[in-house]
Amino acid sequence: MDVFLELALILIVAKLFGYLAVRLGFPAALGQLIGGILIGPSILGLVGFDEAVKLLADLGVVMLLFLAGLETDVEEFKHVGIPAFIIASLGVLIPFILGYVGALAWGYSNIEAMFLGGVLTATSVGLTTSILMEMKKLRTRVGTTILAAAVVDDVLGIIVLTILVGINTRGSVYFKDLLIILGEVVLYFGIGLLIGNPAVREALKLSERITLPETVTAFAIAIMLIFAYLAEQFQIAGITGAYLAGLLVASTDEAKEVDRKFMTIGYSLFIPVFLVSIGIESDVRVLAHAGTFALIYAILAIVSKVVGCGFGAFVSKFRPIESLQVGVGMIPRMEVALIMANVALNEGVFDSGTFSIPVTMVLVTTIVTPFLLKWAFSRE
Amino acid sequence: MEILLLIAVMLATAKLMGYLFERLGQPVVLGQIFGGLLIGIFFETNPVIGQFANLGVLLLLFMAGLESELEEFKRVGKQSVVVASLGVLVAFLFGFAVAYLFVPLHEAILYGAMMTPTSVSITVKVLMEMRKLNTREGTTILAAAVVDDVLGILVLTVAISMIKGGEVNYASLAEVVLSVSLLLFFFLYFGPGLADRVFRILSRIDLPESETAFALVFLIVFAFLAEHLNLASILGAYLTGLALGQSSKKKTIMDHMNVLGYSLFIPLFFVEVGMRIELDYILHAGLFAVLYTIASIVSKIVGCGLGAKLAGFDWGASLRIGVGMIPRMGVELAMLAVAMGSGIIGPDALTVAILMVFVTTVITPPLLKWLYSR
Repeated sequence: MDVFLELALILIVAKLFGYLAVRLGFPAALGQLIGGILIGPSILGLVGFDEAVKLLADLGVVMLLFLAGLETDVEEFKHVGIPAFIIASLGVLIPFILGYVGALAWGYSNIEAMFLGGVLTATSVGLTTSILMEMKKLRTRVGTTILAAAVVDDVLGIIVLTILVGINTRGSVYFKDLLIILGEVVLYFGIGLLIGNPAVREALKLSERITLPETVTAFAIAIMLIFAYLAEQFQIAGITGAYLAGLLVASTDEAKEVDRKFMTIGYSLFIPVFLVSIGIESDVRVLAHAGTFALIYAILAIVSKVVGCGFGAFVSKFRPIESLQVGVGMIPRMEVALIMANVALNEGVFDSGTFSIPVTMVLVTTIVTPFLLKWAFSRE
Repeated sequence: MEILLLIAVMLATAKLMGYLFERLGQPVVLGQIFGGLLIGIFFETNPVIGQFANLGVLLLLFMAGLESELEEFKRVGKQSVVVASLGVLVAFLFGFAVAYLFVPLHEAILYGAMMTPTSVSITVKVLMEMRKLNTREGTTILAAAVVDDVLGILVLTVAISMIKGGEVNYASLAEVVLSVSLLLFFFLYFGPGLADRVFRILSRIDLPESETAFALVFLIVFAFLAEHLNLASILGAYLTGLALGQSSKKKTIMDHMNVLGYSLFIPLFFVEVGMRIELDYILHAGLFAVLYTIASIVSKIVGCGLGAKLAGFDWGASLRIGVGMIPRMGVELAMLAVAMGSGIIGPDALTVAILMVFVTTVITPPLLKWLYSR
C-alpha cells in the first residue's frame, strides 16, 4: 500500500479505536494497541509497516518521553532520586533471579537461563507514560517516580547486558567493558547536564530571536533528536535521552510554548502512530505456538516487576496502593528487551525457539499493562 | 539512528539559514535551499527523509489552499480572473518556447507549466510596508494569486497526465480536463458543507488533536485519490485545503497544521531540495537557466499587465500589477518536486528553477518600490 495511505489508515484506526476504548472506560492507548493488532500482519495484514511509518512511530515514542520530561515537576524529580534507585535496583534484581531460576528449573543451560533472566530486567516505559499522561497521573509522585526509576532501570539494564556478554564470551565478568560502559553513562549524563543544560537554554533563547514561523518548536525538536541520538551513541536508550532533554527544556522560559506545540504535533500524528505501531508489531499468532514455558516466563515477567518495584516503593515509604501502581507501571517490556534477546541470538546463546520466548513475553506484558494500570489506579 | 541526527541538523539549518537570508533581504526559502546545498556536502539525503519531504510538499499546498480567501476572490472577481488567466497563459507559452529550444517536447511542456504560478507573499510584504495593500491593485494581486495557484496546479496536472510515460498523449487531454473540472466542482460546491458535517460527527471523538489528525487523513486520502485519477497529488492537497478553508473549522486546522508544517515537514522539504542539487548541474545549466528566468519575469509583466489593462486599469497600474505577480517560490518548487517524482524531468531542472526563484524574488521588491515612487 502507498506509504501515506498506510499512514492515513493508522491515524483513523488510532482515533476511532482510541475513542471506543475511552467510551468503554479504558485508556485510549489500549484501543490503539488493539486497532494496531487488527490491521497488523497477524489478522488483517493491511499494513506493511513501511520505513517512513516506522520512523514516525520511533519519533512518536521519543516525543512522548520528551513531553513527559517537560511535564515532570523538576523539584519532585530531585526528591524521588533515592526511591527511584531502590525501586529500579529491586526491579532488576528480582526479575533477573526469577527468570534465571525459572529457566534453570525448566531445564535451560546456565548461560541461556542467565540471558533469559537478563531480558526480564529491561522496562520500556513508553506505553506506561502515554497511559499515565492520559489519566493525568504523570505529574504525581507515582508518575515521577516511575519515570525516574525507568531511567535508572535503563542504565542497570545496559550493565546487566554487558556482564552477560562478558560471561558468555570470556567465562567471567569483564571489568574493562563494564568500566567503559559506566564511563559512557557517566559521560553522557555529565555532558547532558553540564554542557547540555546551558546549550539548551542558549539555543532556545536564540530561537526566540529568529522570526520565522515555529522556530522555537523546530529548535526544540532538534534538541530532542540530538539528545536521543547521542544517548544511543552512548549505549543508552534514545527515549531516556529524550526524557532528559524534556527535563532540561522544562526549566527554560520557553517550556510552556514548547509543551503546547509538542502536544499538537505529538497527538495529531506521531504519538498515535507510535501506539498503533506497537499493535502492528505485536504478532498475536505467536501466542498460538507459544510453549508452556513462554507463558510461565510471561507471568514471571509481570509478577517479578510488580513484586520487585512494588517492594522497592514500599520500603521507600510509598503507600501500598501507590507501591502497586509503581510496580504495575514498570511491567511493560518492549524494544530494550527485544534488543537484549537479539544480542543473545547473535551471540549464539538463543536459538530461534528460545528467542520466541521473550517475544511472547513482550506481547503479553504489552497487552496486560493497560488493563492492570487502569485497575491499579481505579482502586484509590 | 543516524537519521535522528540528520533531521536535527536539517531543521537547525533551515531556521538559521532562513533567518540569515531574511536579514539579508533575501527570501527565506532560498536560504533553506542554500543551507541544504551546504549540508549536502557532509550528509546524504535518504528515502525516508524524502517521504517526509513529500509530506511537506502536500502540507505546503494544503496550507496554500487553506489560506485562500474565496470571499476576497468573489469581491474582486472578474478582474483578477482575467489578470491571472492571461498571466498563466503567457507564462506557459514563454516557458514552453524557451525550454523547447533546449529539451524535448514533453519536458518543455513541464517547464512551461512550472513557470505559471505566482507566490505573492513577497509582493504582499512590500505592499504592506508601503501601505498599498488595501488598494484596488493590492486586492487584485491577492485575488489573482489565488486564481493563479489553482490554474498553475491545473496546468501542471494536465501536463503530467498528458505526458504519462514520457510521451505526449493528446487523446487523454479531454479526459484530464473533464476529471479536473469535476473534481474542482465537487470540492468547491460540496466540499465546505461536507467538511462541516463530517467534522461535526468527528467532534464526538474527544481525544486530543482529533481534528488535526483527521485533517491530515483527508489531505492524504484526497492527494492519493487525485494521484490515482492520474492527476497530481498536489491538486488533491490544494483542493482539500481550499474546501476545509471554507468550513467552520478553518481557524483550528490552520493553527495546528501550521505548527506541524512549519516546525518540521516544510523546512525539511526545502532543505532536502538543496541537498539534492549537485554542483555539476549549476555549472552546466548556463544559458538555458538564464533565458528561462528572463522569460519568467517578462511573461508575467506582459501577461498579467495586459490582463489588468483589459480589466480596465490604466497602463501604470497594469505595470505595477504585472510586476507584483513576478515572484515564484514555494508552490513552484513543490510543483517541481512533483514533476521530478513523476520521472519526466531530472534533478538538473532544480538548478533552472532555483535561479528563477532567486532572481524573481530578489528583483521584485526594488522594482515595485521604484514603480510606486514614480
